[in-house]
Order: sequence, then structure tokens, then C-alpha cells
Amino acid sequence: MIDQLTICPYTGLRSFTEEESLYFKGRDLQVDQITALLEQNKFLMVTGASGEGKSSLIYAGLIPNARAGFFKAKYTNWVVSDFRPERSPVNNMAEALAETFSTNTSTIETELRRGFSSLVDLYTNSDFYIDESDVQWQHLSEQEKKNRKRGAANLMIIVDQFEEFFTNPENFYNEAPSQDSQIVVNLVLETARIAIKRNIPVYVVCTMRSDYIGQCSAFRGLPEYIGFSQFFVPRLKRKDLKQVIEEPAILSGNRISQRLIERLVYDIAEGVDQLPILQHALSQIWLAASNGGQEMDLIHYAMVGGMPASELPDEEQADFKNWFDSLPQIRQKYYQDTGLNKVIEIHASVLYENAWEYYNANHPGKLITQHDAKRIIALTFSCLTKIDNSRAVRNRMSLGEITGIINTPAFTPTVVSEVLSIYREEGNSFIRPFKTEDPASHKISEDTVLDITHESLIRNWNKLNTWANQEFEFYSTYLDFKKQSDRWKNSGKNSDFLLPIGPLTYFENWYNKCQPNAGWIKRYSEIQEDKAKAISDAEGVLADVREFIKRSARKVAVTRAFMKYGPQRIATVVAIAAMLILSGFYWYDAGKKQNKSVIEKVRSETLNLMKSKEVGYNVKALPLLIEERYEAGSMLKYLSGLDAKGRLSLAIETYKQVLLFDKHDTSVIKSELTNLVQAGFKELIARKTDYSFLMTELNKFTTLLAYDNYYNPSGGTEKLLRDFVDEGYQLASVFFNTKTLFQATIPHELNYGIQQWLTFGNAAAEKVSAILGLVSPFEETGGGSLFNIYYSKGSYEINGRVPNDFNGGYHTLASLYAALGDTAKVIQCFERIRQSGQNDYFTGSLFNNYTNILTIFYQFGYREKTGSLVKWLGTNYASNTPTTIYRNSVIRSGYLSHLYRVNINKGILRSYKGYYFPNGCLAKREVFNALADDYEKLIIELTNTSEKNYLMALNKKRRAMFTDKYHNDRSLPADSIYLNSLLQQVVDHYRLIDKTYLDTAMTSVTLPYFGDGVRNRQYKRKHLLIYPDYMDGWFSWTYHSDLFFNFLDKNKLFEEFYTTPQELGLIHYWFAKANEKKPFMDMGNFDNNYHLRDETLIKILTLAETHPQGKSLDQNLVCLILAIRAFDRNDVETGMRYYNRFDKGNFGASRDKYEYLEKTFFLNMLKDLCVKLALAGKHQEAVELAEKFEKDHEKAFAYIFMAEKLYMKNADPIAFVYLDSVFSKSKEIDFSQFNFGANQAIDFRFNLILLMSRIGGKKLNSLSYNFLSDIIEQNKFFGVLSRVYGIAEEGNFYRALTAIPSTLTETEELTARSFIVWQACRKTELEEGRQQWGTMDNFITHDFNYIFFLPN
Amino acid sequence: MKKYNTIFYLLFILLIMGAFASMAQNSYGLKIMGGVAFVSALVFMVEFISLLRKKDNRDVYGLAEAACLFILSIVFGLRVFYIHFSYIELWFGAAGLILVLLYLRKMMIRFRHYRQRNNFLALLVLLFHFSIILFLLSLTLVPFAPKTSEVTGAVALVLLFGFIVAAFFKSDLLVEGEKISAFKMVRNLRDHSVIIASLFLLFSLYIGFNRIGVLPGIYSDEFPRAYFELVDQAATKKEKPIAGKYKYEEFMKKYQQFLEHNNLKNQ
Repeated sequence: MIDQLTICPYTGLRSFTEEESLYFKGRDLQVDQITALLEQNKFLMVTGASGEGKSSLIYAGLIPNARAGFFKAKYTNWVVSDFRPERSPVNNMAEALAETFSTNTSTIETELRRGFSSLVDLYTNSDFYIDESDVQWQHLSEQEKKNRKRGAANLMIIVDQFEEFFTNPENFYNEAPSQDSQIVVNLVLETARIAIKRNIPVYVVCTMRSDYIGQCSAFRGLPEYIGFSQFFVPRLKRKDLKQVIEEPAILSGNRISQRLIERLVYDIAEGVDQLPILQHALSQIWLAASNGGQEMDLIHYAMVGGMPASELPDEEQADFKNWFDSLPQIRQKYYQDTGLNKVIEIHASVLYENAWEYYNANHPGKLITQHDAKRIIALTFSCLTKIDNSRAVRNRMSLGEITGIINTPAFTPTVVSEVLSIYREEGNSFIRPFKTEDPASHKISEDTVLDITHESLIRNWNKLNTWANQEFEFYSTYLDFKKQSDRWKNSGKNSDFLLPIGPLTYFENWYNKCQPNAGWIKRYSEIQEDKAKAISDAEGVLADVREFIKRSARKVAVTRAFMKYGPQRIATVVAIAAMLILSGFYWYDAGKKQNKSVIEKVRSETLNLMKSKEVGYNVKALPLLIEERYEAGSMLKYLSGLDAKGRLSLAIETYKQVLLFDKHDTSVIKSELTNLVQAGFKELIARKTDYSFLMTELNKFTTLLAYDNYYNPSGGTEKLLRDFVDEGYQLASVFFNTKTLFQATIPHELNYGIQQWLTFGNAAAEKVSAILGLVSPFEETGGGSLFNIYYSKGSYEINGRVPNDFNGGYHTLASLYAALGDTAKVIQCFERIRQSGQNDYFTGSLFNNYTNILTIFYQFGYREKTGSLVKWLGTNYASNTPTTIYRNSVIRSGYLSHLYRVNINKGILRSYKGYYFPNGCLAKREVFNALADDYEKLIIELTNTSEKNYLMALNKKRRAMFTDKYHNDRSLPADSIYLNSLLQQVVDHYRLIDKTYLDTAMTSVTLPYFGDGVRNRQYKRKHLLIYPDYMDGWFSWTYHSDLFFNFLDKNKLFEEFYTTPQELGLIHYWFAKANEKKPFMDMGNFDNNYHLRDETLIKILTLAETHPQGKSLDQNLVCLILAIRAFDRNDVETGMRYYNRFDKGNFGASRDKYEYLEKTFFLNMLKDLCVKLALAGKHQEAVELAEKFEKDHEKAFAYIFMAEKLYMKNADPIAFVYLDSVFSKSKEIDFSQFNFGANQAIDFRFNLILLMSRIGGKKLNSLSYNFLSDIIEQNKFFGVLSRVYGIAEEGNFYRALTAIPSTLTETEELTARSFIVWQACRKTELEEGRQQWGTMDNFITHDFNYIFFLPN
Repeated sequence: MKKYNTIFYLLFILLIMGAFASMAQNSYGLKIMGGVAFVSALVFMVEFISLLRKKDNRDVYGLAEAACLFILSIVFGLRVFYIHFSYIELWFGAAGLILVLLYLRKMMIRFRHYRQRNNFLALLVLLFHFSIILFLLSLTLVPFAPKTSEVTGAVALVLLFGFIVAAFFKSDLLVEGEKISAFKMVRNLRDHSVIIASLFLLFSLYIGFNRIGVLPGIYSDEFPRAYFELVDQAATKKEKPIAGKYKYEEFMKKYQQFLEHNNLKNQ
């Protein structure tokens, strides 16, 4: 009972099987009819419309009927051999027969192919058939006969779905049947014929859709047989339908309501597929009725979509609604259109929607999307259908073929089969093979052929119908495309045969939608036995398809682009492309313009310019050091790449440059350079060529070493110096031994080399004698001839303002003889000089003169031998009294004179050229002391007390001041006890001098001023003594220290020493000198670094208040300096106090008090005070002060600096007000006055250009360029440099580089470029907080910051 | 909103080109960038008006979003040209804050929607929106709390990268049977999220590349460099106004006076 309830008596879309004959109802009459027909004709063609139940009629009607004995045949038993032609009819037939005859398929197939009667033979030779006429049979016993008869059976051959002979291309191609088809049909027909003829119990039954009747004529003899025995299955009548519905339910123990039966009968529409639709609906209703657990009723019919819910009885509507609401939305939408014929649609579609979930539930580890599942289903059903003569029919295809057409790596046959599995489930049986209770049926292999259960599915499932039609459309288009493609191929792929734009678009659409692959192409290709070849051919066709489309598309690319996208879109794309290309270009360009790139470029260009022979080594040194500053180690790297001479020259120049930055430099660079120079000398001397070059370079180097050792005394430098000057001696010997080496310029170098050797070297007597033997005309060795070559009469050595005759040869000889203590020979030399009329050597202001010789005597320990020499000098030149000779010698030996700079920067002084021999000032300190002592001994011998005390006081003061300076220069500790004792002696001697003596005679003092200028001034003796520094005689450097001033202050001597305004004025002059700054850096390097503290300055102001004559003391400069210093400390209050003390209304006198330097210094201070006031926010006062400048260009300078400092400090907008003032002043200025001479230095346009470049911005840069353009050509470079400096400082190196015009000389170009690298260094150091190159910055910026207000 | 996307992406490319042109020291580069900002503002305005003209189902939130983006674009445009008005930061901040709230709301709605379908995708939605929100917050904070803004921006960038990486490696998320990637989800959003995220990414990439020296800074020589720095100081609140005035205002006034006084303004 329970089992019965679980049986579904309805088959769904599939036909009834023999086992289900119990439920096969409504066809009793037709069963009888076909039984009779078959009995009679042994052949039966059952035809009818699709879905009329032909197969069911045979399997559930005819066969059970025959087995039940209602079929009158020879035997009572029946064997049924049924098959479908499918795509291999012979094989299928053989398989069916093999099963029947229990043998193997291949044997049967071989038999079948042997002849058309072979089927009959198979039967007649089998145990199923008994040939009673056979002798063997007759000899059998009765029992045996009985046994044989029990096993005998009639044979029924069933060819189901006969139309497959026409619908499969393997069977029927180009309106002609295949060989296999013909074999099978002929076998069938011949079997029937023989069976009739020989009355053998073999029966042939075929089922075929009636619409294929016409095509049967393709088989010879078949139409005749059809005409002979055909049965057309009629449609069921109403009562039969009721039976079909009701009886299976009753028989299976299910219940079905009458109203449902009535409704179903009513709903069965006219037309095809009545029975499949009904059967499917019934099977679904049974499932909906809880698998038959409930009485099948209208609600179940509504639940499967057979009727609208609205037509349900009222009492069932609520139940239906509850059920319906529980459905997913996606399923609900299918219930919008209901009806009996929609049940299949709804069922199949719901499966279609749910297949992915069904799959994912069974394969949780390998999920697929709904879209993918749908795609697999759609493609599968497309494969399983086809259009045949405008009819959608089934198309069997193996799983492997379907998977190939789906052609997605992830979708293996297993995945595809599992997705399709839902359509094979019991109750869903849409695709064969169905899943049964046998688990083996659940899995299918690649070779398994899939098939749609019934063609009614195609007609009743819209989606499938659409897929089938679409597939057909794809196929039709493909055929069309293939024609075009073949034509193109046949033309040798001629481009004329490519597709024009219209068809191309059409076929491209087809290609994109269809996405054909080799599997798909193979489906529609000619049938081939060799599957591998078939697929390979299909791949070839596919490749052609793709190439044809691709080449056609390429040909019309432009046209179609316009047609497809329209000019607007194309313009957009072009614009985007252009913008992207431009972006790329800009990126590249931006990269090139980045500071980093620019610097690398500039550095590379700088190094190239450094190679130029047009550029002097003195110019190259600064860029090289900047390069070293930018990248430590690059200096040595560069130098090591040069040839030996270049390396030597540049190393020496660089060494000099380092000392020019800072004479107290202690960096490692110096030692690196000296090592290089040493190595270079060694290398070049070994070559024994270029002696002239070596001599010159050696002199340059020893000059620097001596200078360095003076300011930075060290044993190492001293030794190095000694070694090098000894090399100078060796070189001089080479020259004096080789007459041919003579060159006009070499005697000067030889003289200097010998002087250096005598001063610093190992000048042993034998060496001195050796050289004298070579060159001295006073020696018996015949040196006269060589002397005449090197030191001939009428050849002059530059020696300060006055040249030396004989190329200075006699001075050199005198020096050598002095080193030997040979006074007689020295006098002989002096005689020759005197005789040649060079009295200046003894009385004038030659750089190097008799005082040097006297010093050499002292240096070499021949102090006692100078008497005759002094006597000779006094005898021949009356002004050269012994005291004068000694005084001059002491002055020259006190400390390193500023005149030494001519040795370092040759030609720096307008009037003084040549070498300044340093043997006085750079000899051992004992020489100075010995000279001073001997001088004082001479003074003591004087009879005039006042004169004696005066000279003694003066010399004591000289010794004190010189010693203090000497110690200060060399950073040595001062011996204050010794110095104070000296100064105390000054006071003591001073007090012993007669006042009249002090006040009467006027002494002429030659004071230096800017550059090499001198001024002679008349001072009373007293003035020289009370001047707070040392001032005396010729060319006196008038600032050394505050030693004397402090001594006076400490001992409260001011009132005693300074009694008149004039005398008090000396303090002011000293103070002015103390603060004096040189306008140009190349001279500023030689300034004294002795700093005056605020306390000292305040003492001066106190003196002005306390001293009886204090009111006469000019306080303006002191106030200026103190105010500036206070502002520097941000002490605005103090700054303002000193500013207010400054006499703004009448400072002209202060400004003009002294000449040149002091005036320039004063104005610079004034300018600086303006800046400080402005920075302190005291703009009114700043402007007021700026306007006090006398000339417009001076005012402009003040405003430029005010604007500059304000802007640089914190971008103060007031800077523009001051800049405006500059422009305002500019209007009144005739710039042509700055075009020539020293006036160039006061052309403020350079500073203005610098300022505007520093501020930057398009307009100001353009403006600065305009200013630059107005400057005359020969002055322009400094303007270019200002511009490059400013722009680079503003931060944009690319713009700075472009500010360098192409018209510059290589020297200028190198300098300008090195300024950019310099700024890059400063920027980096600022960012990194480093500050070790400040001296270089001071050196470079000095001339921009310190204005030379008054050149002349 | 999506119909304007083509315009926005065109503007993006133009913006990039303008930025590169500017980096290459061409003065028109900045003008292009400013132009892009103003055109964007115009598009937002058009969007605002078209939303306003809808009589039924008027989208208040959409209106607010368009209005805020309009304000932000205008302010950006003014910034590009170094124009600064009083209270401009307040406008900027208010617009940014409203946008933050709008996107907070969107985030919650979308998160809820996706949480029912796919938890991971919901998490990515959260990441993406949170990144936008933080970016907007970072923008808003620039004038008021620059350092906080920087940190917020950095966090936003990390979240955005997190989103991109997660979306890239987990591209087959199932939502209602459909495979969907987070990118696709984002692409389907019908608001300005993608535009804002793209802008943010673009901006962040520029900042990042600029800091490591791959890209140079935006360059302009229209005014002295100090002016740009002063404006920047004012905008980032590094400088406090004195008597309601920032230094750059005085700077520009004096600079212009100088130019005018010397007839240089139109040269």
C-alpha cells in the first residue's frame, strides 16, 4: 500500500515503457489495430504527429499485447530488438541485436554488413527459430523438441524514431541517405520481405513522425512498404483522455479529483503535443500533491502553473497564497502566465534558474555563478536541438562535444554534466539519459550521448525554442559567412575580396554573439570518421574565420571608426590621446627641469668648461671647490684626471683659493692639495723638462706655504716649505748651469726662488758659494758671463713702483753674499747698483732694497758684520743714517705686511708689481728682536735727550704693537707682561720728552688707502706717540690692535695724553681704521681680524662724555656701529638709543672725515643701519636715514638693501614699498655715469637685479632682464651673475641656467654655472643644517653686500 | 550622475596634463588646472539644477551632494589661482563636513544591503566608503588642523589601498548568484564615490611621488614664490591673521601697488 502511494503513474515527457503498460490507457483500439496489421504484414510503419504517443503505443501497447498472447504468431514467446537510428544506425542496430542474440556487437555488425538478408539469417540460425523441415530437428527427441520449442520466440524488430534517418546529418546529408542508413533500411525491408515470403516470425515495426513521410522516398522500396502497412496514430478522444488521466491514478492507488480531470480535459487544447503536455502536467501535479500523498486537485494544478490562482475555489486561494508567498521572487514571476501548456515552460525555466544552486549545493567547494550555469544549460540545449526543414528537432550530441562547444576551461565535462544533472533527475526528465535509482546512471562520461526527452519540450519551452532558433540563425549566418570566406581564400586571400563595412559589421556581430570555436564549427562540418582530423580541420576553418574578419576589419578600420563612434567620440579619444602624450612630454620635460637634473647638467657643463684652455686655473679653482662642496671627494677625482702640469697648476690655485676664503683655514682640503702638489713636482722634475714652468709654479706654491705657515704655524708646513724652497735652489742651479734655459721672464723667478731659499731653506754656506761661483762676476770662477746673460744691464725686474736694473741681479748677489757674511762683496754689489744710478734702491720706495740685505746678515748670524755696510750707506746717501736704516729694517720685519699679497695675487696692486721678498717679515722672530735691539742701541747713543726718548718711546710702542699683531695673526697667546712693560717704557720715555720737541716738528707719514693708494700726512711727533696704535714713517698700516688704547685706559692716561680736540681726534681715526672694511674681497682677505669689542667702543663714548675736550670727539661712527650691533642682538631698545644719539642732521662731517675707505665704510654702516631699522619695524626712521644719503644712487642702494633684507628674512611686503622707492630714485639717475672706470662699482643695477631675481616671479624676472639689457655690454657680466645668483637662490635652477646668455666667454660661463652649483650647495646645507663652507659664502657674497660707495 | 562621468574623466586627464605642464614650469599649466576645477564646478551646478527641476521624488541628498561638490570645486579653483576670500575655509569646511555625513549615510545603507548578500563584499563597501569619508574629512581639516588632516589622509589612503588589494585578490564574490567584484560594485554606484576616490588616489599619488622625488612640485611664476608660501601658510593655519588680515593679502596689495605705480601691471 505504501509502495503504491509512492508510484507516479505518469511518465512526464518520456514515452511509456513496457513495464508501465498497466498505466497506459486510452489506446486499446489502436493497440488492437496495429496488432492486426502487424500479424498480417509483418511490417508496420506507425506514423503520427509528434507527441501523439507512437512509441508508447508500441512499447506499452503492442509489445505487452503480443506477450499476452493477443498476437497470433508462430511462437508464444517474443524477443524484441529495438533501437533508434541516432547517428550510427548500423551500430545501434547491431548493439540491439547483440543483446537479443547474446553475442558481441562487432560480430553482429559484421554480419549485418554482409548482406541484407543477414538479419533473417541471424534469427533463423538462432535458438529462437525452429526450422521444422530441417533434418536435425527431425532427429531430435520429443523432449528435446519440447525444450527447443520452449525457447523459441518470435522476433520483433523495432526501429523507434525512424525520422532520425533524416534528421541527423550523419544519416542524411545533401538529400541523400548515408551508406549506413541504407544498410539498416534495406536490412529492415529485406527482413520483412523474407519474413513474409518464408513465413518466418520476424516482425518489423517502425515509428516515425508523419511529417517525414515525404522524405522516405529517398530509400528505395520504403514508400512501397509504408503504403503496404502503415498506421497513423489518431488523436485521443475526450473519453480516452479521461482514461489517460484517471485510470493510472486509480490503478496506482493515487487519488485525483473529478474537477481536476474535468479541468485538464477542458484545458487540453487542440494542436500538437497534447499527450506530452498532459503527461508532464500530471507528473508535476502528482509531485505537487506531496508525491501522491494528497488527492490531486485543482490547487496542485495551480501550483504547477496549469491554471491561475484566481480560478481556484475560494477556500483554496488562501492556501495557494501561503504557498506562493513562500516561493522565491524569481520563481513567482513565472506564474504570471499560466495554463496547461505553460507547465513545461514553468518547470523547465525554474530548473534553469535553480541549476546553479542545485550544483553549488552538491559542490560546495567549487561554486559556479548563476550566469555560468545558465550559459552551460543554454549552450547544451542549443546543441541538443537543431532546425531541420524549418522544424526544431532534437539533436543528439555527446557530453564531450557539448563541452567542446562550450569551450571554457573551467567547465570540464564533469562540471557540465553536473550542471545538467538537474534536468536528468527523476520527475524532471528533460534530458536523456535519466537518473534512475541505479547510482551508475548518475554519472555520465564524455562519450555519453545526451538527448532531449521529447521534442515537445522544444515547442513548449520558449527559451529552448529561442535558443534553437538562435542557433539556427548562427548556423545560417555561418553558412553565408563561409561562402564569403571561401571566396576570399580561393582568391589567394586577395584584399579585394574582404568584407565591406556593412557585411563585416553583420558578421562581426554574429561572431561576437556566437563565439564559434572548433567544436562548434565541427558540428556543422562534413562528417568525418577521423575525429582528430575533423577537429583539426575545424580549427583551420576557425583560424580562417578569424583572419578573414580581422583583415576585413583592418581594411575598413578608419571608416568604421568614424561610423561607429562618430566624430565627437573620436575627437574625444584623440583629445585624450593628445593630452596623455602631452602629459608624458611634460613629465619628461619637468624631470629635466627639476633642480636635481639641472644641477647634474650644470655640473657636467662646468666640468667641460674646466677643460678649456681659454679659462685660467685661477678661475677654475673656485668652481672646483664648489664642486668639492657639492660632492665631497670630487675635487681629487677631477684633479687626478688631469695631466701632470694641469694638475699641479690647478692644485696650487685651489690651495690659494682655500687660503683666500680663510687665511686661518685648517681643513683637510689643504693637506690633500699639498700632497697632490708634492707628487706633481716629483713627477715633473723627474721628466727634466719644463724647468721654467716648474720654477714659476714652485714660487707660487712656496709663497702660499709661507703665507699659510705664518697664519697657521705648524711643523709640517714648515718642513714642506723648507723642502720646496730647497727644490727652488736646485732649479736655480739647473738654470745657472744651462745657459740655453734662459728666458726673459725667468730671472725674476730665479731671484724670488733664491730669496725664498735664503729665507726658509737649508741655505748652507757651500751651497751659497756654489751658486755664487756660477753666476757672480765677483768670483774668479767666471760667473760674469752667465750674470750677463741673466742679469744684463738694461733689463729690469719689476720691484714695486720702481724697477730694478740688471734684472735685480745685484740684489740677489748681495743677498747671497750677506748670507755668507761677506760685507765687502755686498758693498761691491751696492756699488754696482749705485753706479747704475738706481738711487731709489737706497732712498726710494722699492719693494725690496738694502733693508732686506741687512736683515739677511741678522738672519745668518752675521749681525756684527753690518757695521761697514751701514757706514757705506750713510756715506753714500746722507738720509740713510744708521737709525733710519735700522728703523726701516725693524718696520719691515715686524709682521707679515699687507704687501705680501702681491706675491699671492700677482698684479693686484695698480702700482706695485713684482715680488715682495719676505725675508724680513717671515724670517725668525729673533731677527726682528735683534734688529730692534740694535736699533735701540743706536738710539741710546744719541745726544739729544728728547730725540733719544722720543725714538725710544716710538720703538717700544712699535715693538709692542708689532708683537701683539704678530701673535694675534698666528693665534698665539699674547705675552701681556712683556707687552705692558714695553708700553710702560713708552710712557716713561714719553714723559721725558720736551713738550716743545713733541709739538714742533711735523713728521710726514705715508698712509695707505684703498688699494695701493697712499696719502702723506703731517703729524706732530706727539701725535705719533699718542695715536692709540702704531703709525710712523712710510706706508704704515694703521691698525693693529687695541693694546695701547686699553693700556691708556687702564692707566687713566687719556687726559694726560690727549689734551686738544685734534689729539682726541686721533682716537677717532684709530677707531675708524679699526672698523675699516675693504670694498673688494680680493683685498679684504688681507685685513686684520682683530675685533674691537663693544666695551672698547663704549669707552670711546664715555671718553666723549668725561674728557674735557670730549665734545669734540665725533661719536657718529661709534653710534652707528653700536646701534647695528645692538640690532643684530635683537636689542632694539639699545639700538634705538644709539641711533638717537647719532647726529642725523649733521653726519656729513663724520662721513667725509677721512678719505675713501673710511667714507665707504661709513656709508656702508649707514646703509646697514637703515636695514636694521627696517628689520626692527622702524620704517619711518629707516626711510628718514636712507634719505640722508647725499646722492640718489646712494639712497637707491639703501632702499635695495632694506627691501632685500626684509624680503629675505620673512617676505615682508614692505619690501615692495622700498623697491618702489628704488624705482623712484632710478628715474632721476643717469646710468651712463656708471658705464666706465671705477664708477662701475657703484652701479646699483647689479644689486637691483639680484634683488628682483631673489624675489622672483614672472614680472620681476622680466623687469630684471630689462635692467640687464640696459647695461652696456662690457659691464654686463656682473649683471648676468647677479641674475643667475638671485634666480638660483630663489630656488629654480632651471630658470637660473636659462638666465645665462650664450654670448659669454668660457670663463664667464664657467663662473656663472658654478654660481648655480654654489646655490645648490647652500640649499642642501641649509636643509641639512650644515655650515662648514661659510668662508666660501663670505668670499663670494662680499662684493654684493659691501658697496664701494666712493671710488674716487 | 553617471552621465557626467565621461566629462569628469576627460577633466581628470586634462587635470593631469595641466599638472604635468605646470611641473614642467609652463605658466598655463596652473591655468588649466584652475579651469578644470571651475568646469567641474559648472558640471556640479548643472547636476544640481537638473536635480532641482525634478518635481517628484526630489533627491534631497543628491542636491546636497552636488551643492557641496560645487563649493569644493570652486574653492579648489580659487586656490589654484591663489585667490583667497574671507570665510572661504568655513565654506570649504562646511561643504566637506556635509559630504562626510552624506557618505556616512550611504555607507550605512550600502553596508546593510550587502551584508545580507555577502559579508566580505559588505566589508569592502565599508572600506571603500570609509576611505572616502576620511579623505573628505582630511580635506575639511586642512585649514583647521593640518597635522590631523595629514594623518587622516594617510589612513584614508591605507584603507583605499586595502580595498584595492582585497578587491583585486578576491574578485569573484557571489551575490545573488552573480559573480561580482568589488570594482564592479563600485563602478555600479550611481553617485560620485568613484570620482572622489579617483581624485583622492590621484592626489595621494601626486603627493607621494612628489615627496619621494619622482614628480616635481607644481610650479608657477605668476607671483613671487614667497606669495605662494604665504597663501599656503594662511590656508594651513600656520599663520594667524592680524586684525583679520593674512600676510599674503598685504603682500599682494603691496606687490600690485608696486606694479601699478611703475606701470608694470599689464606688461
